[in-house]
Amino acid sequence: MSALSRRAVPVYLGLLLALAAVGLVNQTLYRHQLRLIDQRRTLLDQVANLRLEAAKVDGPLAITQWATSHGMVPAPEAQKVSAVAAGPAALPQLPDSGLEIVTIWH
Amino acid sequence: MALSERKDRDRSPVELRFTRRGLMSVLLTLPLLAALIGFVDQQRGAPTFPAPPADAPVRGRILASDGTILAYGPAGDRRYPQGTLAANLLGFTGAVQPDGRYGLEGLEYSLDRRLQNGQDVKLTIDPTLQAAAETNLKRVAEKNQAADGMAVILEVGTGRILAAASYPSFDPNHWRQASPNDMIDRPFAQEYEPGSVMKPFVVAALMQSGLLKPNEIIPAKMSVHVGDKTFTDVEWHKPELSVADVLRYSSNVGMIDMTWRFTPQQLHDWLARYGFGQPLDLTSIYSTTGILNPWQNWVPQDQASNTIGQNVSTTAVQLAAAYSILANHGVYVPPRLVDSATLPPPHRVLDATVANTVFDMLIHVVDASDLKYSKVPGVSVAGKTGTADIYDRRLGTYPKGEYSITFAGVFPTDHPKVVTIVTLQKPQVGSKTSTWVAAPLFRAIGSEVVAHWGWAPGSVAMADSGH
Repeated sequence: MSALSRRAVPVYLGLLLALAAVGLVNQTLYRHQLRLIDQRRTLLDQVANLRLEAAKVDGPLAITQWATSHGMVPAPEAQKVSAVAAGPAALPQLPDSGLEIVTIWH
Repeated sequence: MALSERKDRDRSPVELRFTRRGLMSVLLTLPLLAALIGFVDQQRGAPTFPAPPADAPVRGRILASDGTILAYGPAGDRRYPQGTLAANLLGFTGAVQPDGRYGLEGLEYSLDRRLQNGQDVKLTIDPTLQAAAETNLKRVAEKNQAADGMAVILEVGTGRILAAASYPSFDPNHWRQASPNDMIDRPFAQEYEPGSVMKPFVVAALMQSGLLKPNEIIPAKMSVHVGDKTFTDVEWHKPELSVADVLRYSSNVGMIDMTWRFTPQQLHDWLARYGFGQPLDLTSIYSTTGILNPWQNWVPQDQASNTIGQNVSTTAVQLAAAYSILANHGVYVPPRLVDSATLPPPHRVLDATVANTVFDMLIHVVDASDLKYSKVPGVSVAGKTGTADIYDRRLGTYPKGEYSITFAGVFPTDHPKVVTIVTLQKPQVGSKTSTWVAAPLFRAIGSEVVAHWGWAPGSVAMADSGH
């Protein structure tokens, strides 16, 4: 074995060691990424299902069906209308501040 | 002396050099391979590195007019968060087809290229009105055990389609469980003979051609023979009727008496001018043209049948667009389903005076006839019923007792805002006439529309609800 070869082998083995370490990190990251992709898919599924569930509560179809099943009718079909729009709210009773201002015009 | 040394001594120098090199190669290659394992996916046996996930191409969303998301997600994992709402209109996606499309039905099919390019599509559909139309259509169709049905709400003046409901329907999230019959987008794709709802168009065409005056008296017995066919009227009436009363009593005989003022070609061309038998200018969705047979093939009973809405077929959207001509002072506005679609400009079909006169006759039809069940409380309605025989292509005839029932209405009449068309096919239970089934359905949907506008019920709104 020549002197050059003798020097090259440890360098080569050192590089291989480094490569193996990088490979290990690569595998760890890759597995982590796979887990994240799975997680992402699960979460997207969850969001989609929750959107569907939400639409069963506040979607236009759900609201129409709920109203009908509770005996509600569209406004024009109302037999009796006692109040169409609420009247103006009563002014709150303000507490007496104890201060009184008197303006006198000259 | 060791055995190996003896062997080495026996070998030639060249042989010895090669053996050492081989050993060195193995010694140096094995660790290299071991190190490279770190870059191999052991499950797949393929090289791998962490990289951004390769998502399917982003497919555009389909939105309702208020921004409600109706469809989103990549083609392979498409979601419809509103469930069955507008399902027949939206369609669904599946595996890529030989033509490169992912959409298999409805808008997903017809707008596939645009959606695959990642562009959102905003429809003119109002989700609240769509829900109201679907819910009421389903309720009445189930109650009367109808084979199928459809409802369209079209905005007068703009041609915007606010609702297009089909019965039966399906959930596009689980489209594999639905039958092909559930998936038909009926307002656009189902053609049917509309019956008497066609009559106002013939009256308007005669008036526009100068062949009929609105104050004429028309002879109208209870039946008339044309060729080998006998046409009869359903509702009893006097033997002479005003033009408005011909429409009010939906007199087939009165209409047929008037239609001979037209040549077959004239009547044919007028029906085509209203859009019947013609392709809709909608570019966004597949729609059928309906059938308007060539006038050259007509025999007299064909002309008579066309006059009363038989022997000619249409779609509900075509019919809505045609009624909007009467509501829109004679101007045809192409129906619009996609907000940004480029459509041909509106064009005039009738003079405003003619359109307004016939429109007034349609107010008379609702006010004077037995159509109180079509009256949306608090709002005046112009409208017309239609009950038509259904042609069975398999049998080659019109089976008895199978009807298509339609109500076409416009409201409010002082400033028309919407045209609403409702149609049920082959109701099996209860009444099979449009007056008793389609008109109340029209009213139910109409009331929802008025409520959605937020119009407060006035004193007129306290009218008897009729059901």
